[in-house]
Amino acid sequence: MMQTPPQPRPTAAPAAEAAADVQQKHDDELRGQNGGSGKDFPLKFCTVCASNQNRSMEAHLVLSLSQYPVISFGTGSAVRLPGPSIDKPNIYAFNSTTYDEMYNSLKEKDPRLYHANGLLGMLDRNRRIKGCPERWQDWKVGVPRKDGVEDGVVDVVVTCEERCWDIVVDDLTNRNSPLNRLVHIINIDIKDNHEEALVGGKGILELANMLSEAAREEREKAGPNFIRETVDGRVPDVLAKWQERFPGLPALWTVGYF
Amino acid sequence: MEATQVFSSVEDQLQQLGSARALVLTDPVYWPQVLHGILPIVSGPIVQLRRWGADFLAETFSTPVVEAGEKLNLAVACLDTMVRLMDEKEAGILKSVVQCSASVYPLIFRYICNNREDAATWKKMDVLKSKILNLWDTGPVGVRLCCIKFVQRVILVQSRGATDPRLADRSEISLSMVPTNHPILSLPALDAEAQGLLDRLLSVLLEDPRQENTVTTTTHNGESSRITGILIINSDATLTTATLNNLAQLVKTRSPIAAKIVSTVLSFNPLAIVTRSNTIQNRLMMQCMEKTVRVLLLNIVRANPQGPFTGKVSQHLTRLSRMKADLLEELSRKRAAPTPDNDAVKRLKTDQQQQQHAAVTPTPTPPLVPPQQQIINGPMSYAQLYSLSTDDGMNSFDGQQLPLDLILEIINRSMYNVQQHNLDAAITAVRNRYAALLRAFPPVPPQAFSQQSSSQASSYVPPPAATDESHAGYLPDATENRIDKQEKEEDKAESNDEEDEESELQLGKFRLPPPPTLSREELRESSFDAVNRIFSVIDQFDKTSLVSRKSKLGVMRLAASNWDREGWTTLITRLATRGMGGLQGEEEIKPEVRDSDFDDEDYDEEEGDSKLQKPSALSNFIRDKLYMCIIEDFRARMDIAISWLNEEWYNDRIMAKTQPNRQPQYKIWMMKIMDGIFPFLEGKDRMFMRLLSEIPEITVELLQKVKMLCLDPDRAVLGIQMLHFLAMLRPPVRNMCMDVLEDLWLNHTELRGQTQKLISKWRPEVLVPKPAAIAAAAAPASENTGTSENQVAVNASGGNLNGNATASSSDNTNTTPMVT
Repeated sequence: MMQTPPQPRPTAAPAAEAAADVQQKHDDELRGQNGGSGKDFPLKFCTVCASNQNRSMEAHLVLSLSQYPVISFGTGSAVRLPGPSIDKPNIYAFNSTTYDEMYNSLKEKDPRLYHANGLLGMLDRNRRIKGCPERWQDWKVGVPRKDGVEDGVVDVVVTCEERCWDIVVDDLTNRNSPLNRLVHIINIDIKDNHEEALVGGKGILELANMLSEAAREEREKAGPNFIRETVDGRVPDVLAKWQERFPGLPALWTVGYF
Repeated sequence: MEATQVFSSVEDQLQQLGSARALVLTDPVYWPQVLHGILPIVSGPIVQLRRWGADFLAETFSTPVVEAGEKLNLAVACLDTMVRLMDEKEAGILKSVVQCSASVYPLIFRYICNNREDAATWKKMDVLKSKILNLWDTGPVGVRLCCIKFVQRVILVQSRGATDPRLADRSEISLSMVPTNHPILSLPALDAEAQGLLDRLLSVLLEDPRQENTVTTTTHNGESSRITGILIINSDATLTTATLNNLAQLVKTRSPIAAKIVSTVLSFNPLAIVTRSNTIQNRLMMQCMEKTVRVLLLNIVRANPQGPFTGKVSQHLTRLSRMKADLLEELSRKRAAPTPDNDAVKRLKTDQQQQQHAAVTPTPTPPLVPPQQQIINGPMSYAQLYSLSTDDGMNSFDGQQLPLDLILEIINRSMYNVQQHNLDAAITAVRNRYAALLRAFPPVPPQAFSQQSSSQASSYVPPPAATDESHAGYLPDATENRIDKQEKEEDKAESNDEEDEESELQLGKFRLPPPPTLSREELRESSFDAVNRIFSVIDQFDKTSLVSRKSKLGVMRLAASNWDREGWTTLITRLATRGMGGLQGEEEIKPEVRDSDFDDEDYDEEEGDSKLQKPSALSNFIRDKLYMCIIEDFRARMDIAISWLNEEWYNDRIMAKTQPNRQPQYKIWMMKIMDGIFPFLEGKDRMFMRLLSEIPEITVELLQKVKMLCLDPDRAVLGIQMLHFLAMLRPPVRNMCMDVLEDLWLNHTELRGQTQKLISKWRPEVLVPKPAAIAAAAAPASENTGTSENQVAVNASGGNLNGNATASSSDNTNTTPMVT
């Protein structure tokens, strides 16, 4: 018998393709390393940071380029982007203001400043990935979606900051897990700047690859009592191995329920 | 050939099923229809389809897009399929079915509540439940995680919610839904099952369940294996965090079981894993479990900040962070040579485990003590006499290696936890041995000892040798004392301790020698130490708000009912004031504790009246500490100041009756505190008024200080508010306050804007314009307030009382140049 995935998944997120022609070089490099590793046994991922702009979106891009089904969220009360000074941030609403609108509004305000600090580049990347930043707290888990995760649930939530992990775990606790569905919530601590986001994105992709590899191994394992096991019991092991390879990105994990 | 055909058809079917699923995801209306359609396939022989079906079942009962009512109908229809799927051996399928069951269980439960006759459906659910519970300990980890969720759902459904019917959520499915005379559902049975499941669920936080099993099976070796069982905590962070993340809902919505859960979580030590083996993975898992505990506890507390757990939880979290910091520091120090000897953590773990062990998990019965075991013919050491363990390792363990405080801690804890009948059995066993020994060696008291004890023998009554229960505790006490004594003997004469030991075993009479008398210096040192320790205890308590500090004991409350900050404060203030009363009284009899001897610090600030009896040095030491303590942070410790000063004042009153020549302490210390506080008062320190209003006696000197405050432009408002407040709410000092105010009015025109209202309210006569002569006459007198000031008032009122109560301010300002 061949190993057929129980639920056929779309081969690639359309958003990923849109992004691909912008960052051709960056992407080719990633593809070369991890070509399609998510494809044949895709765990579904969700990346979370404060504003759903920098770290979670970099990871979103990187994971979707490797064919992983992925969605992303922010846990803040609003989207906050740096402004002309530290006390004048640009604030936008979650779920309604699109990346495109933010891009245009910043370009209008001060194209030189926002080009120089990288915001325009980031928003340009983001608007090719999805429509608008989404707020974690407003996510209706399990409601079907139009993007890569059509059934609206994921297997692994990756947060990019300990505070976000706290909020996510706390929020899931308060939701009282109406779906009864298992989810691993992992934090990878990434500093909120462009360079660190790139490093963190690579780390998250590697973690996704390692988890998927472990899942594949477990599924093909035939134990004495049970066959086709799942990755759940391997997560501590995989995470520890990953942490040894990425000591600069402190990890945290818990088993929660949607 | 055939195989490929089957394969391709399976492939086709999966594709069809995939598009069916895509359809229901976009339009959930078709969901029931599709589910009914796939049920036969799910029971079919093709494993790929069964896999797909199990996932689809789980999704159906999870998804928020299908209505609950619809789900109930589907659930009844799907039970058979689910029961059948539980026999699969694939972890993926089992995971889905267990997840699905967790969603279905509450639905079926409610259905059975309303459909009393449908025993068949409940039977199916019961079969499903028992299959899942069987997998809970034996299944693959992924399945076990789903089982944990299922168990949480069962506990939620089968326990009672809020006890107050007004708070109960009607849509919630709980034991309260079950009608009392239900033919299928038995309330006590359901409740008991939930309790049992909860214990099993929490056991992962207590210790390794496998160890538990070995303990209960190997009774002959129970003692030692129980100890290892305590030390080894289930390392499986996966199950632990999953369990923890399921507890918040139980705590928040099932108040009857909340306390048990919280206390188990508080006793769980997430740091223990590292002490077992310090690997990178264990360190990481330690962090993960610690954070999960933290988020859980904060979630519980935040949901109900006034709840019963808030204090304990916040204390626990502070302690946990401190322990974690210590541990990490220790680990980084020991990184080079990691040893498994992290005492602090291990100790805590053992303590907590022991504590919890008695509370929640059944304590394995210790082995029956072989009563006459190893009665050695010949000399026998105390260790041999008292060791009841059959384990060689335990017997060869030298208890003297442990630090004394640890031993005390262990004894304390175990005395709380030990079962009475076990203790009785152990005592009887030792007593029998002892009796056997006595029979073997008839008592021949050695010369030296009998001489020494003869003088004390009259006061000692030897314990009766009876074996009845009521005397059970007596013998060990006596023999322990004997050991104490023996140790002392050893100190004195080390040479012949061997004979002593033997001979003493045969002696029935002894008396503990009195402790060596302390020198005055030592006495003083140790009392100061004790006081310092009490202060450090007071410091450690969190500052709780007045509301939460309010005692729940009501009328039963005593001054120090609880050993909290308040209790210790009461203790220390009374120690300073009344506590030394006895000592002072005994001065004449016991010259060695006389104050003047050890009063080398001089506390006599004022009037070196030698007739006045000064307080003892220790009292004053405590007072000084109290003073320093208050001055360090007077805003936060105002309550200490108030209770202390009240105690002083009260004691002054009491003592004045019996010892008229005692130097009163209240005024001295009150003024000292005020001197300490006043320079640091700020304009916004309105809390200070509370201090003024609650101290028992206000003196003229104190009001003079307040007056000085009024003259400081920065704090004038505060000063005047104080005077206002006191004048208004403490009638006995109203006149004194008004004297001050009047003085201000007359001599400090810049304050008139603020003082006018008060003066016009209580001393309107001052406002009356006076003839220059009278004013001039009053002027010198007003400097030192008092009677002459009143004289002025009398004069003024005699002149024109109701004339100019509303005298214009310009009039008043005109009078001032004359007055000053």
